[in-house]
Amino acid sequence: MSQRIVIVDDEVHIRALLEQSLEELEVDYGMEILSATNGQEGLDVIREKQPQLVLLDVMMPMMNGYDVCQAIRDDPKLAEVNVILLTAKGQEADRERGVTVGATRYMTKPFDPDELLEVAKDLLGVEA
Amino acid sequence: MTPLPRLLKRAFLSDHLAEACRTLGEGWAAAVVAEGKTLAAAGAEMLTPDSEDCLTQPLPVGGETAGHLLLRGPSGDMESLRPAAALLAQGIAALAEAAEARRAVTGEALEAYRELSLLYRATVTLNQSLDQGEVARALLAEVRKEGDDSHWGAVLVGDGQGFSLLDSFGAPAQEVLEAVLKSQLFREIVQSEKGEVMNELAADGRWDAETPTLARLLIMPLIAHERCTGALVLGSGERAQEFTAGDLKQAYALATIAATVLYNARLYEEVVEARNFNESILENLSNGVITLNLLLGVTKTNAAARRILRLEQQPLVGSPISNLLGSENAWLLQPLSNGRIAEDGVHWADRDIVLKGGARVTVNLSVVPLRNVEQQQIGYMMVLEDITREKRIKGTMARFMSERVVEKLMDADESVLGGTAQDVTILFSDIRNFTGLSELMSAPQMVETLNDYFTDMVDVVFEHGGTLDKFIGDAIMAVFGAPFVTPEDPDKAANAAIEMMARLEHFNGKQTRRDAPSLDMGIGINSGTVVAGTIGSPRRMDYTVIGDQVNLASRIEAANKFYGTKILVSEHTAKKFSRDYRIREVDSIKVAGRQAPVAVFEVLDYHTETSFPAMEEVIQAYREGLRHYRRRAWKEGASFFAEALQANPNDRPTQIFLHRCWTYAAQPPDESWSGVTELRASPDA
Repeated sequence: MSQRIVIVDDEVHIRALLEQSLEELEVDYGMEILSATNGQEGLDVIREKQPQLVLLDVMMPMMNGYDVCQAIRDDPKLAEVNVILLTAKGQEADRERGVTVGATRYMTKPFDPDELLEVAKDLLGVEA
Repeated sequence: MTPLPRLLKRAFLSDHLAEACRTLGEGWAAAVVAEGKTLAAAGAEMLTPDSEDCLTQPLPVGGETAGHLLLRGPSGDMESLRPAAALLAQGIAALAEAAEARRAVTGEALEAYRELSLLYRATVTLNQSLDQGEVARALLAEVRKEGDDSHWGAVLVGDGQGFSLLDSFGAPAQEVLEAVLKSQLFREIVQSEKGEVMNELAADGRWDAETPTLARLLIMPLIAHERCTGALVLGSGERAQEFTAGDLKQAYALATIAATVLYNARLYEEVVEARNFNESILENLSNGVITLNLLLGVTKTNAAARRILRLEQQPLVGSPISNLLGSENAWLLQPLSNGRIAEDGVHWADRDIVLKGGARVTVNLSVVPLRNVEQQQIGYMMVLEDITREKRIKGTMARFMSERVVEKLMDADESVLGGTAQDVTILFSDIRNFTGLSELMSAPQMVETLNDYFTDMVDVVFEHGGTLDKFIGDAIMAVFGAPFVTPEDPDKAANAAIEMMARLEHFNGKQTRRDAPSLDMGIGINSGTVVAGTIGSPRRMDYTVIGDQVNLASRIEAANKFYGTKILVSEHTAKKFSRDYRIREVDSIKVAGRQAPVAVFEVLDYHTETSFPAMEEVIQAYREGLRHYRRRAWKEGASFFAEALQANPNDRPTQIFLHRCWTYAAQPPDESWSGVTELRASPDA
């Protein structure tokens, strides 16, 4: 069964940027990239699809990234999911909170697309 | 053009084709193929690029065929498939076109993200140090490409005159770097202030060097504050990848940051250098410097200030100045605390600062307001010159020796004023019959006469390098060889004595003109080891010499009265003369308080033919007379003395010895007679 990546971000252009940054994994490694437009929808997709990697925006209405991350960590079936938290520059102080809720990595926007791909590959066990 | 698989998602396309087949009805099959592979398929059977009996419709995206739609209907009539195929293909192509457009926009955004991210990282890493070398290293680490042996990079810095290598990677050969620096290419790029990529260096008309290992160059000037302060140069060989527009863009972004950071780093190095230079000057100044803030707290001190104020052992910065000095320094502390320091400063000369422990230092002190570059006053600067030692030495010495000797003393180690045993020559002079003279003069006339006389005589002593030890009544005691011994001290003393006689002659001329009595003078000189030092009580300290040899000099001076001579020197002095004087041994004498006899010599150089006629004959005859006298050959002695007396009937020593010869010839002395004349305390007899 192919590996899956879920992108959770309420902004369509960020979703597009993230998808395109990771498209090599989709095209060359046959991974499936799924998107969700808010925290609750994201959590539903994650529970349904059980991805290996989640890219999670922090600042989202209704259910923010920290809460989604916490919910993932609270779900025993999702224990192995890697979570990359994405937040805007200048909010690095929130990194601590990301660590508290169990994020695997923490990246700031604007992210370096090459670095993001490297990190994703690293977490998914794809040799660089 | 982007490959179709990147434009359209497989799952989406599969759903789309399945929906189309369902709509078309029973027995339809559709697939999208690209690059010889099936991207998505749906319907009655799975079509592949190899399937036959299906209509193939191209998928044009951006004017090119990105792939093909394969469609098969239930009828097998190809022509009947055409409208459906065209419609379906048009829809898929339109989706791909839209995806391509979105990719282009997203791609731009990602590129911007890359740049932003690079700048962000570079700004952080390049700004981590203010060391030029470290900045260059960080810059090179950013532009270094792995996996190419021929790839090298160098950061050069310019000083307006030329460029020099700051750091590099990939070990560029010296001759290659020199070729780059000398090239017209480099000069033009630096002048234009715009970076360039040369992927075919050999074909570039601005490059004429033979560098087989170098085929490609990227040169990016480092521009800061509208000046080229250096350059980033990347080079590689023929087989390396070409430099891209992206490389140039990256180099530009990094160079923009690095140039400013390097500029600041250089500025910082200059500032640090200037500060260290100033600190070093300040610390090594012989004058003490203390700076205070407006609250009169110490902000800086130099070594001299700490030494002068005896504050070497405690931390000073931050302490109020009033805590560091004793409280009895109102002359300084009050104007400071009242802010009564004039614009151009206040200067005090020769003032005592009372230290914490009660000790005093004498200083010349200046206080000037300290201002920052905006001319706002930020505190005060005190400059202290410690004159304690000078004051003490001058106070003690200036009255006794010439300025030249005092100056020399200032330069010398202070220990010369402590007690030292040293060989000196002591000169005593005394006015003959002063008591009698004083009866001829009024008190003011006597004081005036004495002052004039002393002034003249002390001048002569100083002129010959002597120091005035003291006046004893009408007598002068001078020392040659203290504080500084010289081999010529006996000669200096003798010459001073001769000159004093001449000066007395001149002085007496003046006396006669003002109708005042003439003075007569005797001088005695002796040389030997004495103790020299500052001696006295704390209330009155004088630099002087003491010892047996000093007493002997005084006795020899007194012997002049007995022999009717003017200048007598001891044998200790005479044998140290380094030049010839007109001199004769007068007698061997034993003075009060001394067991050992000493030969005394008369110095006659001050005489003229008038004052001492036939001097050479007298000296010769006298010497022979003395020799016979000492051998108890009274008659022979008497004849020589008589001969001398004939040449100069006024020569008093000859008269004395002629008389002695006659006396002893009539009544010879006993066996214990040694030819030594005993002069007792009062040798006037």
